[in-house]
Amino acid sequence: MQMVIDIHTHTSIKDAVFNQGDLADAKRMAAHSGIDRIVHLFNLSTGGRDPSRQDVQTSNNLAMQLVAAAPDFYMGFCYLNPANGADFCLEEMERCIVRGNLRGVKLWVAVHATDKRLDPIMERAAQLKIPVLHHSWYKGTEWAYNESSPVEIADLARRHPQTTIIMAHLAGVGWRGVLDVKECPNVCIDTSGGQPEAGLVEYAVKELGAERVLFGSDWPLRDFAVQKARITGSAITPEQKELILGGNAARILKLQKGAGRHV
Amino acid sequence: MYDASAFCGSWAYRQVTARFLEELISQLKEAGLAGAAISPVEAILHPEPMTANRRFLKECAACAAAAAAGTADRSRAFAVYPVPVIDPNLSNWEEQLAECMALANSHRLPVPAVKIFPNYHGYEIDLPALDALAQSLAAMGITLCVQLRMEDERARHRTVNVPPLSIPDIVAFAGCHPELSILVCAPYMRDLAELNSAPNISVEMSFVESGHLLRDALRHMTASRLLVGTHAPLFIPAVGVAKAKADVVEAEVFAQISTDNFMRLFGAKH
Repeated sequence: MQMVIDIHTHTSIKDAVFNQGDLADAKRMAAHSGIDRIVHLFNLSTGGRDPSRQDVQTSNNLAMQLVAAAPDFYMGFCYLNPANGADFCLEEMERCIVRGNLRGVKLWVAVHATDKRLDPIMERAAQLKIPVLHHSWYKGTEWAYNESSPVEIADLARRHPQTTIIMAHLAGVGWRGVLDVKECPNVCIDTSGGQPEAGLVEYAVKELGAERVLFGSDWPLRDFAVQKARITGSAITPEQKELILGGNAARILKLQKGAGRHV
Repeated sequence: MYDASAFCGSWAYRQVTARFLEELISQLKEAGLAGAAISPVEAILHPEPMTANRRFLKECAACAAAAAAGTADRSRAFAVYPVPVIDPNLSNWEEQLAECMALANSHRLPVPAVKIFPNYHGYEIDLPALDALAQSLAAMGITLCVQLRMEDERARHRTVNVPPLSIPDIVAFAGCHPELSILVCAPYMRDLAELNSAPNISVEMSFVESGHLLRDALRHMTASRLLVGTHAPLFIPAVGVAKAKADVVEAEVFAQISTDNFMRLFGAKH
């Protein structure tokens, strides 16, 4: 049976200090919800919307500690702020991904996805064959700093067709966001965050294919079990649910049987 | 398990997965629910609520009749608790209420509660007619459901600019009507602590969430006043059910959240 993988989680640990208690809590809550592995993206308590180089390194250090402490449970992505400069970002990728134990890149709201400062990061991700998970939303309220819309993610995808992009927050990007990236085969969408809008998972599956939808929770902002129920409670086939709940993540993160860790 | 807040009908701002009552019941049953308090969603945006209320109560009666005749298998063993919509900002609110009660009576349906939408219907919580409505409902032992919002503000249609209701105003209103049972629908987690300060306020959890949902909700609100709500068909019903099972809690607490509190607010009048 395919393991359940949550592609979109955080920690919210003061000063990003690793402790066994937080790890145990994450494992317990995930296990209660039938989730086998989770991907750590960045520590919510570190750095704010425009993190400094030190903030980024602090968060990534925590990610690597979590993965080292629980390699059968935690995976991690390398959190980057393109505004920190290309040299720093590329060196951080070397440190955390090539020499470290992280498997992808996380980008949030520090710069828009249309910003050319993303280009070196995206090119290196393509070389390493690792995904880039990028926050996105369509806001009916105030946008957060340099928050990217799905149209901007599509622009990024067309500039870098060899890089796998996971656009975050299906309920945030909505029906329009699904259509914005439909013609970008290198873009998947994760289901984390927002409200459980009925019909939206089915719509994403219909328009993109189940292979391009990934389960995510946005824990600890959101609840594991509640977010998983969006997938299990949608009117799609069991095979599609299995893909979304773990098969797609396993493929993108190269966790399939016989596939080694990326090099 | 019972659902304290679901809707039936067409919502103007997007497609829904179940427009008709029978479709909604089918979805809710599939999610594991035994009954639901349901309101006609069209009454929110119509200039007056009674057209939608009449059609809805007729649909409830038809479903009940089919269930009794054993001809609608999907409706069997599912309890519908109709919650018509009242707009006290209209001069005929008393006729609205009276007609809803009469219609329900004629179809042998209960009316355990009514629901109001002050922000959509354009009035404040301190409207004198709302006070009068509250007194009437309290005298009849009917629960007042107050809907804070219908959508996440971030995801609303670009033409919608309906602000959520003020939590302090609702708490103050509850204090003026201590004999009235009030169910606040669609609060966020951050609203629970303040709502808990009024002992006659209960909440349903369709919009409540955090990484430790039940732990945090029970920290802010007593278990005897927390209820399951799905916000179906706008939200996925299975998610509302999952909230009650999001973590391990004592059996008594689970019973309160999933069933007992619902029966206290809706069931005794069924």
